[in-house]
Amino acid sequence: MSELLLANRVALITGGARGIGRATALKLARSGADIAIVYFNSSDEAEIVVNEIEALGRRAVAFQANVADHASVKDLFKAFKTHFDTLDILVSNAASGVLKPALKMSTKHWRWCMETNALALNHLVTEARPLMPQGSSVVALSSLGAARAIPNYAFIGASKAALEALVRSLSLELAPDGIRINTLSAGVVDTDALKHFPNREELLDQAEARSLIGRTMTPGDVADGVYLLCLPEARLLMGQTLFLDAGFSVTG
Amino acid sequence: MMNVENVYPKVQEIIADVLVIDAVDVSLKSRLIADLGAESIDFLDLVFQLEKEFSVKIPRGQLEKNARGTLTEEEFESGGVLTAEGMVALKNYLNEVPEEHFTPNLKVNEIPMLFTVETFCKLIIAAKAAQPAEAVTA
Repeated sequence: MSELLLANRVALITGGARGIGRATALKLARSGADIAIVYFNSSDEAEIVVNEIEALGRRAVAFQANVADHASVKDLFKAFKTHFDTLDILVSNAASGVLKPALKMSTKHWRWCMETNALALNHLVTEARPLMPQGSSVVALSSLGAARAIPNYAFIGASKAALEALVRSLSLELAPDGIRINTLSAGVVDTDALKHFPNREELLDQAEARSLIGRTMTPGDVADGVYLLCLPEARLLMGQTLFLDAGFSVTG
Repeated sequence: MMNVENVYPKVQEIIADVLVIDAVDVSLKSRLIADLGAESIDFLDLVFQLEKEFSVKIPRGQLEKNARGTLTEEEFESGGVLTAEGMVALKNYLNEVPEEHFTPNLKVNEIPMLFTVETFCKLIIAAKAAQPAEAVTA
């Protein structure tokens, strides 16, 4: 049995009930961390993840919050503090959006994407910072759409680009407290989110064709990437966007 | 005892808030999409607000699940279109929705078009009734 590198750490994962968030929660728990998961609408799934983590012998608590809303994030941390004294790892994974061409979008859609996918990180970091000791790590999940044109992805892509820029600025502001923050930009992963894409099959086929491992990525692959960014050896990775995409972005 | 009449005022207020419209424009019979201009993202926000306000859990897909009743997914729909049996179950569940709104060959993903303010009132009442007794008094 190898040493549990995240033993006695506490991790909070937004969007932790499903997909990549769920896989990340389980990965960090298997590595020794106690887990807080945050969910928005997925109460049933959140309960299942909590049970799975507890079965691993770790503590797990699920909190409901709207990460796009600062008041809700304040309430989240108020509740979090009744269960945990510290926060070592913050994973901003929750995402939502409207899939349509930019020219058919409204201001309301823009706000929804920007507030859920980018501004939420600022709310989370603002509230989490006082709880985070030296050596803590924040990871924000982004996607290749931040830098590429993907059909119907215009506003989500823009929000992910904003997120990555925000991460760079936050790395500057968090460094004096010994807190690192980075972006993990994942390639195409077949989760519930992808089911909303009209061109889901095409995206998966492209991802598989350009993958250097001959298959598409799984939520577990992304979770492993988050884990790497949380290790002490990643201490000089600050404000970076790490592309975890099985070579997709460097081939073709 | 919770009923549509005493749940409605708060539901009306929350729907107006989520959709950024005047509460006076919301009635029990208003359809969220056709009459009030709701979009899919609004449903996410609405369910979140209702869960918080009424301290209930409304799992994703609960409305569709309730509508299906005792039918299996295969009995309820075929290739995304409601079966005759499915239509009966849906009309039975959404008995507050006028008959003329149930168009023939209704698709499963068109069901939300039928939802009225009253549909959400009933959803909350059902969610509350499904809670363990101690949670209700908490």
